[in-house]
Amino acid sequence: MPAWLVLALLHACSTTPEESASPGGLLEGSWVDQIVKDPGSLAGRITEHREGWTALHRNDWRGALASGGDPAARAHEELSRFYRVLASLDAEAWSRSGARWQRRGDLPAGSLLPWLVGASLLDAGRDEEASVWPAGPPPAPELEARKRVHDAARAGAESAARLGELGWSAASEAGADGTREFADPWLLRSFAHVESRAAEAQAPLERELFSGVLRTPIDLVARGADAVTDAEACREHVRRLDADLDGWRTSAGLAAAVEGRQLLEELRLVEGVRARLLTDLGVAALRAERPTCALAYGQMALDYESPRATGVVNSPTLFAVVASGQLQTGRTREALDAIEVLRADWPEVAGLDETLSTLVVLEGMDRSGDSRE
Amino acid sequence: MRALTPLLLLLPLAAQAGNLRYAEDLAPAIVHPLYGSSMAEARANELAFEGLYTDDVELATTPALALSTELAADKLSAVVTLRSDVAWHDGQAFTAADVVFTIKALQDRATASTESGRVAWIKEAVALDNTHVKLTFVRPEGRPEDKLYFKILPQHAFGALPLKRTDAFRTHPVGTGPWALSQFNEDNSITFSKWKSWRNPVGIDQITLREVADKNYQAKLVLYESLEALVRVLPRDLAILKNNRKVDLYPYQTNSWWYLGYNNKRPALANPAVRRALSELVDVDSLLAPVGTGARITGPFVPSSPYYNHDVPMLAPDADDAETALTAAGYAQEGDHWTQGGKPVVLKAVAHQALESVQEVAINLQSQLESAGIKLEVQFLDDAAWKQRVWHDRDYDLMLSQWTFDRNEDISEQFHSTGTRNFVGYSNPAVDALLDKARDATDPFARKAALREVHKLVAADQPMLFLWTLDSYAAMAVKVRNVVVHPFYFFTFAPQWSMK
Repeated sequence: MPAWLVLALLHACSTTPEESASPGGLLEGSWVDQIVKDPGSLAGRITEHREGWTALHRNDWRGALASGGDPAARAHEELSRFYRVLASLDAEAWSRSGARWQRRGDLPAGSLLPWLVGASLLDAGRDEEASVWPAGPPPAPELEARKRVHDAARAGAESAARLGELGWSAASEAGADGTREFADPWLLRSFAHVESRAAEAQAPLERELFSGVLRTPIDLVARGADAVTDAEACREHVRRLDADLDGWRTSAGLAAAVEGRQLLEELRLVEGVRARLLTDLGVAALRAERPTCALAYGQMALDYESPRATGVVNSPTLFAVVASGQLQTGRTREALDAIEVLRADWPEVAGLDETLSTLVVLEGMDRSGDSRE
Repeated sequence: MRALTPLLLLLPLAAQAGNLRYAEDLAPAIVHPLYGSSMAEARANELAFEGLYTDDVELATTPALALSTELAADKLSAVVTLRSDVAWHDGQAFTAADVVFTIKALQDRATASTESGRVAWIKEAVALDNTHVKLTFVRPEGRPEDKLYFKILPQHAFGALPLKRTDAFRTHPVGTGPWALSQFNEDNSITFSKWKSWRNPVGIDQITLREVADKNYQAKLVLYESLEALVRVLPRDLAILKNNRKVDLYPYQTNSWWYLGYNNKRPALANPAVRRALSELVDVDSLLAPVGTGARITGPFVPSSPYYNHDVPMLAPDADDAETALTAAGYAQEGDHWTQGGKPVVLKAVAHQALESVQEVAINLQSQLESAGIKLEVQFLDDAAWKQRVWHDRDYDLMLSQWTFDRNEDISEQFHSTGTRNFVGYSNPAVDALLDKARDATDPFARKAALREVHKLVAADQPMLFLWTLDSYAAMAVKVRNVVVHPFYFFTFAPQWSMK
């Protein structure tokens, strides 16, 4: 063994608890730390509903729902949050669509669009913005019928399955040059209500396993002076977190038994907790109206080796955060890249996809394109 | 020294304070906005030149060389007010005459600019005085400033129109951008220096474009701190860069797709059934596997595009169907190869040598077609030969290439029969009509529907085998701060970047 390595190891053994608490301190005592130090404890924690825990580990929430128990309860919580992020994104897409039509000055007379913009904003609690758009009862019978289903679902009288049966298209109208088909402005928020209700009814006992929860809560960093510096501040935050996680990984890797190290690597525990933590921060940044920061957390959380799929690192909520950050920073076209990942597995996202894609077209109506080899 | 050896490339070179070095697979031989065709050229132009308008960090149109635009009530003309505080890199003042000159140069057919389509909507440009230009339009324009992004040239640097690709300007460009091209270096790198008279603060003193033809070394150069930026990371290098704490990754250039183009003007390939049969002899998944992660495509858009038609089925390898179609088209199978008129079928394919992983793809394709009985002769062309053979002479049967689009995803130049970049010679009146309809549409729903129909028709015609879109990321050393990457031009917001 090289002399420098012996010295380094001796130094590591002689450090005080205070010193070792700095690098790798975030994961000390966390569920990851417990599993790596005591690999047998994982089996105990997932004895019941093993398949559900396995599904939760790979962010397969529908798989976790099927198993029942704590994994299902946790999946309801995840789904509730996922739909809330998507519903906010959907409302923002409607808001931007309405504003863009208004700016163009050729909002079609008699179109359903203004009412739908107002309905979406009202549903999102953006009452002041909604007040400039038409309100009142749904202007088309199909919208009225659909709204009744939503109201029932939110009151607990209809299921998520029934919402799924509604499909994305809420109404259509004849345009000057074809048909305009509008997405359902309530759908994603209704799903959020249904999942939230289910989560409240079934609180999980095991809240930490396969989560981003650490012993010390991690807050957002202070806001930067402007959008660009805010993104930089959040990127720097991730770099500091990474330094901490790297430190823990190194020390835990040296200290752990073979089984612990195997679990650490094969289950990608650090990558998983890191992505969940950054996704949590991304959601918090969106709530704090810091989209460039949310985008920074989201993009740094992504598993770049399989960026078009959900898995242990990439959760559906992560893609929703990235899409939200993209839209709110003017990158509507790039938001579609993240939504496209969700579209295959989440048919209820199709309406959002259509609303966003129409917005992309609308934003580019007066532009001339550029292309290169 | 035209090409650096790999060993030399790996030597960690000390970065100058404020010098950002980035890699391109192929350095532009010229820096001239009217003749740029590659992304490398577009990025270089973004450093040295400006348009009247540009994108702000939220990708909204914002004035650059212009101050404002006043649209006439009938929307058939507008007066653009220009900045009066702009100097060209040679010190001369920027004026309205430069704007008029640029528009006329672009519109002059003899200039033969591939960018001419960007001013096709302007009927006339007149300088009212040094800071005002009146533009008259072909048809009413709602927001002309959204189209005034094309780069402006200095009239004083040229003689009379038309401009030529060979003008001295190509290697001595003069722009108004935040960096001036200071030198084409012997190692094929290009140095851009901060233009001290630029109107806003510029955080980085110097930007150096380094040509690193062997893409396998680009990531290593970043890791060895001999580069600060890679505009596109090879998929196989993503993991190593992601795990390096001195580097950040940024999604970049996602509207890009590969294709195998058929020369539709060649009699043998004029028949869509024959083109489709050839496509059915190719196993695209196995071509893609060694290149990287990405998604297959069925037409001229990426799957996340508003215009992608998800109802168009993926073309799967089908040797039986191909055999039936080729036989019906007059081909015969003799032994292990196909013949036409008693002669073995031999196709000549070309590929740009700078296209990453192109050799792996081409050799794999060659092997697949030869297994199916079709001989493929492949040539890898340098930039000049590519432009001559593909752009000018159309001297090829098959071409392997890619297209990258900005967020407008306007494919007219590639698929309209009059398109300036329709290098495969594709022509379908129904597609032309739909592309015109999409261009003229005032309703986004109508444009979306028209272009989804274009996707369907083009996929059926198979003017090219649509291959894939790759996952694409840029890498940037963390010492470069306040980075916001423009999704197409990359450097648009670089003046705000700084070096730690």
